[in-house]
Amino acid sequence: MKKLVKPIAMIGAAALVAAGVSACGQNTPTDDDQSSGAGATEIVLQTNWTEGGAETIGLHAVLDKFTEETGITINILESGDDLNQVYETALLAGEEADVVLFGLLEKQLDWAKNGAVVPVNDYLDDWGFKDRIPEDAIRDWTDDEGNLRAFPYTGFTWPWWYNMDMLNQVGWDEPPTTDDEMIELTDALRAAGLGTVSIGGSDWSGQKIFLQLLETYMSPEETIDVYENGGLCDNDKAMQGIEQFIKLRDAGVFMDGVEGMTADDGQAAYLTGQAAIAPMGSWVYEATKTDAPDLLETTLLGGLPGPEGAYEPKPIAYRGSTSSGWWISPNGEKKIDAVKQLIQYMYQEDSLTTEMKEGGSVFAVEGGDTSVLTNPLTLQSLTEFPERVSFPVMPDLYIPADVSNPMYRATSLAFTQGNDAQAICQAMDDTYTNAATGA
Amino acid sequence: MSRASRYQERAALRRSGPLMWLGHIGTWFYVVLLIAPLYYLLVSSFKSNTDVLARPFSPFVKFSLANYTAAWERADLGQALISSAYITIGSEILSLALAIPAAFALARAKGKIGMWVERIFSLGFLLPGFACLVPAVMLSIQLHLFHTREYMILSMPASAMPLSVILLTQAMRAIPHDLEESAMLDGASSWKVLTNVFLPLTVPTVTVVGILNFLSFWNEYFFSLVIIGPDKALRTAQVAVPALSSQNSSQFGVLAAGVIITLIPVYLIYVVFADKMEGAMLAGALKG
Repeated sequence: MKKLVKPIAMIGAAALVAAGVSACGQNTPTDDDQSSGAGATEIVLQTNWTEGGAETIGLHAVLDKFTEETGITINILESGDDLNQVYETALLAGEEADVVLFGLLEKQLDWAKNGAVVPVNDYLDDWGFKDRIPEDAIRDWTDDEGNLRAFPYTGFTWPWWYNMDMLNQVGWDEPPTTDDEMIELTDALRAAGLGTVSIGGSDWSGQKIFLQLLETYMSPEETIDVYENGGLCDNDKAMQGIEQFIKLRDAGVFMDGVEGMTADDGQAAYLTGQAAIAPMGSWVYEATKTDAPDLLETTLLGGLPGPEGAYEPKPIAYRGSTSSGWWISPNGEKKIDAVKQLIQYMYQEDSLTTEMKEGGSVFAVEGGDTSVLTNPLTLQSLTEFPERVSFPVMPDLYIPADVSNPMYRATSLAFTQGNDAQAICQAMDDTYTNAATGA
Repeated sequence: MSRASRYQERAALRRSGPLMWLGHIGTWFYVVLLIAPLYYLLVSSFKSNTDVLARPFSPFVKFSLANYTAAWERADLGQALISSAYITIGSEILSLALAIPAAFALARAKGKIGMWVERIFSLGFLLPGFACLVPAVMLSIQLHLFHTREYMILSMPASAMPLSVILLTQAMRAIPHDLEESAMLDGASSWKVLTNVFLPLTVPTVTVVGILNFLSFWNEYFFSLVIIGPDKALRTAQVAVPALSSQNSSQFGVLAAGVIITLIPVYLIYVVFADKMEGAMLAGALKG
């Protein structure tokens, strides 16, 4: 017994002493720090920008400079993808972070309505952001009660990546401009033993690309209506879009087995040269620098070419303004002067430029000096890419939260050979019906 | 294994027929199933993100500790491991301090009250952990212990009590009553009987309970995330590790390295106490 008790006691004592020492040295918020007004010396910032992401490097660089210039320290809480649950629980205890840097989706859509955050409508003009933030970004971030939920900050582009080295190997100098050319190109790639289009057919990435094709013949207003209410089977233009998807699928445009792939699999296939084409978001630009540097110069960012009669004459690709915004909490409102200083600082030209350079961030606001960019993909995305493509409606803001996840299964069905337009539209409509009935 | 013993083993297999061969194949298949995820985790921890996805099972080509360094620095794992150790050991001590006397009393109890108390402990198995989340959060707020590690030390033993008390009670019931009587005749108090008679004889079971509780406390994620929060100064290793990756920028190699780092303490605890655990498994297997 003594033999056992001794090591346990020693380990216990050592751990308690170590933790006690660390607890003494920690910098936790106190009631004094939480006091209101201009004298606040600390702001608690909660974000899902974790240390694993490239954009965090730029964020930290700007925040360090902010602290240096103002004396206000920033306590950063990194919460990953569980941020909304952690924030809401802390809110219940009245100990929520002062500001939150987070995207607009799911639960956050109702945060301003249910009082979890403070609407920032009044601050938009007072703080001088009215002319800085584009109208479409303001529209995206405003809820149906007219609350501007947060200040839009970073956005994204979601181009189709074309590996021009591989295209050149099969005799193509330019990406295709029509759907028939796309089929011709993928036929040539297959004949040469090269991979075609890689997509995560079983998850969110495949869902977005299926919906991109669904939109082919619809106006933005018609698209929004379909996203909000479903009813694909009864909508002729939506059915034409599904037929267009089937045309590409059955012609072998997508890689074999794409219905079982995830976004990570699709990304890896392109970055390792197993696929010549892939739709991937701006969050992959920085990863390409380390994982496949050769592709930085050989990749051309474009869009998905449509058929004759498509609503958008140019190839299409997504972009959005909802990757992250600055949300102000009830606690943050108590120290609004310090929060104002922080948020204004984050939108300064120098700050945007630093984040662009260090983290490859793509902003939802105008500003930042693109000449400092060292990543050719980020530069291309901000300069040439918008000229090459049209931007369709981004589904995330319109598809109800309880429909979105079940829809992944329905779109996985769409990527599987043999399923016709009726089966696909029915599977999609079922996700709306099930959400409405709670099934 | 010597040549002679290998020969004897093969001869035994031949004698026992095809069923034994099937049994061996099944056992080895099961071993492979257990080892495969560990192998995948280990090789992934040395690979780049793209290699993890493109060549998942191939052994790493270039040995590099870059993922481990990145995991340690980015997630501030040193501080997180200290927090995890503080909470785990604090909870462990409290669990055993409560469960051992409770089991001792229940093992000695003869009346109906003892039987009902034991059944009430068993009812604890019926409570799903998630059902306790909201009350646990509300209580932490009421006690002004929200965003503290100490609340976790106080609350986690509650989840461990049913199994701990029931295992220890059964072990203590197996101790002959004569031993307790002899000690009592020599003037030993109840405390002395517990510490000098019952506890030394139930060390293997106490070890098993300790290891099971350690695993449960060390690996706890969601309550720690919600109640302690993501503050780097307080968060546990299990809360820190997921911060190494995010939905749009998965970093599987670094994440695997972070997971391996957090597994090391669990493995060390098992190695140190493995013989005691095996002793508990075999206790009572042989008479005499």
